[in-house]
Amino acid sequence: MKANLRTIRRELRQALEQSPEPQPSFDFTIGWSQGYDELLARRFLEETDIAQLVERSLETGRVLLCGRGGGGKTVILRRLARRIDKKHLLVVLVDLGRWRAPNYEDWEKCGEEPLKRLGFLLEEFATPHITPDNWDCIPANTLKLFLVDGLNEVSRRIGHEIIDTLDEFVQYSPHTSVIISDRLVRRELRDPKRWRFAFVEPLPQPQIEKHLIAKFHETVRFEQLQGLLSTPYFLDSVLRHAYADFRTYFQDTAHLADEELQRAGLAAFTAYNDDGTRTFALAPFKAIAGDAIIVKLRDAGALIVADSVAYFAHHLQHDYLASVYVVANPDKWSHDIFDVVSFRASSFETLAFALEHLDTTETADRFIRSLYDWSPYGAAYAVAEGHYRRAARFSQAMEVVMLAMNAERRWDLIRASARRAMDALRVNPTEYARQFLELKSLAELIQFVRQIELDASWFNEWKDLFTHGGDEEPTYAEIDRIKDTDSIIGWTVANVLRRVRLTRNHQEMLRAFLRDSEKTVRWRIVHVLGACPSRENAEILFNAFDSDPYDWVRYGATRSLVEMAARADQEVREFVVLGLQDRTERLLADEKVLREFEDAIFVRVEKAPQGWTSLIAPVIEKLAESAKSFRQRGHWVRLVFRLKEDYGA
Amino acid sequence: MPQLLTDMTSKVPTGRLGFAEIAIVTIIEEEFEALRETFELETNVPHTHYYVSQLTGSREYEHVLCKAPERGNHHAQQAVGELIEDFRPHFILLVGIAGGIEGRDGVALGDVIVANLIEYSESRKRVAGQDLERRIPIDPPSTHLRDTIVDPARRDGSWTELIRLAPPRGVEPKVVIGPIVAGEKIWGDLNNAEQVALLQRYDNAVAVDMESFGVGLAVHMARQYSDYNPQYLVFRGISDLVNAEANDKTRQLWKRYAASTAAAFSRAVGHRLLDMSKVVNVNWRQRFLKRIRSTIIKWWWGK
Repeated sequence: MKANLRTIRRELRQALEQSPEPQPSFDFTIGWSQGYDELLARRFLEETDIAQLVERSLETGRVLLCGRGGGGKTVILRRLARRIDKKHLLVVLVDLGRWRAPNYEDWEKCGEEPLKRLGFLLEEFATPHITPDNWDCIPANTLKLFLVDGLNEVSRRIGHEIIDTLDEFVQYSPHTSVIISDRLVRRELRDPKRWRFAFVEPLPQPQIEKHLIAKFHETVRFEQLQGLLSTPYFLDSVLRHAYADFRTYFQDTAHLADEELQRAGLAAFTAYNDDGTRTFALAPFKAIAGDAIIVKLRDAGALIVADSVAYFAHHLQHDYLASVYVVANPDKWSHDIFDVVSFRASSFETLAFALEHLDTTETADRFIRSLYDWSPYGAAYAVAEGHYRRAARFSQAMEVVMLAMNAERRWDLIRASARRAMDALRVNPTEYARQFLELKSLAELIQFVRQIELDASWFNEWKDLFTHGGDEEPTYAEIDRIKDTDSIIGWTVANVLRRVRLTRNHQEMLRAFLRDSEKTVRWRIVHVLGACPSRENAEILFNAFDSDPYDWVRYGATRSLVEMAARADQEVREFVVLGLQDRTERLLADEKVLREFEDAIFVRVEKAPQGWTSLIAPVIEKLAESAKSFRQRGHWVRLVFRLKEDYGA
Repeated sequence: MPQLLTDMTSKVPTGRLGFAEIAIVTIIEEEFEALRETFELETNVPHTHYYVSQLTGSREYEHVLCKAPERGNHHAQQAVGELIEDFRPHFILLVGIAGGIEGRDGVALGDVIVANLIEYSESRKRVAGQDLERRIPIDPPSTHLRDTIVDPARRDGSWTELIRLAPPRGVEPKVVIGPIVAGEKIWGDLNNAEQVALLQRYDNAVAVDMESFGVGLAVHMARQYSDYNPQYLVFRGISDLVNAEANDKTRQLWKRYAASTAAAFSRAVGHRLLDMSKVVNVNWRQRFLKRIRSTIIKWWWGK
């Protein structure tokens, strides 16, 4: 049946009428950057109003609209949908916030067919409801604009596949453009030149004051919330309820007692754990929280129930409740829990809330140590979020240590690691982060850290370790500290051992530790061995890759093997590359390890050995042989092409 | 108002950078230079890798030329995908060189092959000792254009006057219409078992290349919407014979000439395509105006 544009537009209008824009409405400023580097550093080529989002999407077809949680991205997209009233422009809203756990399986069933994937996205998440078969009935002279909200609501891999699908759709479908909202995380884009990068800037102080004065006739009592109120969600909360923190909200508006808050926290965490999505099955949530809590949350407008599923009115509410569980269970602070609440390191609000609500500096510092053990970048992002909320209690010493350890990776041989380290520093608003970004070498970093004086004895102990000179051999006692249960000390030792001269005996000691250490220590050791190229160490790394039960050890071994291939002499290099060629099946079997391999092969150009492309290409060609489709093979073809571009044929 | 929105009020589908009647894709530098010279496409579209005869305010072009970043079907698919997005061309020509197969349809060095079918040799399933073919749907080169445009140009013969280079030795290049096998390798060892098997399997193919399949796939993916119906052709000048001796040496000697014969024939075809388009576009515009009128009338009555 021929699609009727008028009917389609009416469906969208009615849907938007059912969710009116919060009042008062805010004026948003969009910062435009050249790419992720500039976006993360908040370096903007220009700043505009939101109308430019549409204009620029029409120019290149693709805009990534990035921003923090509660930053206004959803409001902006809906405002655009309301205001775009051009005769030849059709708007389709795609709300990925409605993604549920079963949708992952549905997505896999679509296979690689772009039209099937697109059809799935439109059928499940689009308003107006439009499908590829009646898509073609839209007149040719109609511009089609997809507003895709919430890429961060799905797993990282699916997010990447959704971007690919939309990218391709925009390429082949005449007059089609897309604006995708996302957190400020780096995404893989097939051709970054075809994208425009936009950032929703925090609300400026004059606008905040204007609204506060209009509502309360004063601003003084909100002074301590200044940083927080630059986030539109929190300003809106203050204007509605006169408070901005979630604890007060759940106690005063949802009337949850302390014990109920804990139970709601467990239910919220379990929903993330079981479903991995913001929309979750109601029954298990109810089983934990109980009927009374469900009623309270619904009456407060926090929980929205639709048949057998539920979601929170804003995901920050869900994140806050999950953080209540995290705070209450310090014995569970580990990779597993952090992966769950961060959606595998793509969303850090829960961790930031947790950091904010830890009631002592000592506990907050311990939390950051646990985070660092999970992910140095995850720790950095959570700390940065904590700054924006201005309530986090971690010590300056802890923050400096975390920043310095990230800064050290700026000079990592593997470019992806260096880039992540830069990103972690860029999102941090402190003067130390800025200074760490300006340092020109590892030697300068060490010198700089040596001069930092902070009032914490443990910091000085750490400083002595961190600033260990490159020419000094470590003592056996120092090497032994790689087994330290304090993750900061353990990882500092690991990183220092990578830059100092290790004798054969030192390396033998580390290899011996590998045999009977706990999993995180084994990870640290394989990390060190990557910087000590030798046949013996390569064999140890291959053993770890083949048979260590802990995935992070295999991940670390993969990285270290590639690093070793780049550092070693020809004999060891060839041994490593042949070994990797023989293990392509194992690489393919483990997504995390495979992704790490794909990242690790891009070493610093100036440090890459001669003929790096021709050395690595056979491994990639072997991987490509397993490709089940032309499209899959294309992934490997592009990887080789990137190698050639960077390192020559 | 952005350019695209302005375009849309008065045109059939255009791309992000404008509209081109004919888009030409090449792969290696010799091909690119031959096409640039033959079609006189010397002007670079700023900040892009496209070449046109001259920039226009209307952003409408008769021809646009680009070179894929590398050999291979994936790069060709990507290049054509970008061309489609940027210029929504009516016609897409893949023009370049290829390895001919000696002993098939009299194929000789310097001849121009026009593909009537593209076979992709890499999509196979190896199981239980068998090597089975697995087909991937793509668009074949346009039969309609082959019959109405290519064949008359071939018979006319005057296209050889457009060849800009002299051959390494005396030849009379001709146009041969036949199947091309597209793969991901450069073939040229007559004793190689895999090549021998390939030529046996595709026993009626007249040439091998590495990009035709990618082009066909891109066109297939673009032709999902009734308002946009691109068609493509493949022209390959024969630079070497894959099942002959000293293949590599021959290719080095003949590739520039082969590129120029392919460019010359594609130029002759291009002239005819443009003539045909002038008629077609008038019809497009008439249909478009009729649709606008009917929309306005419906809106008026709806009020």
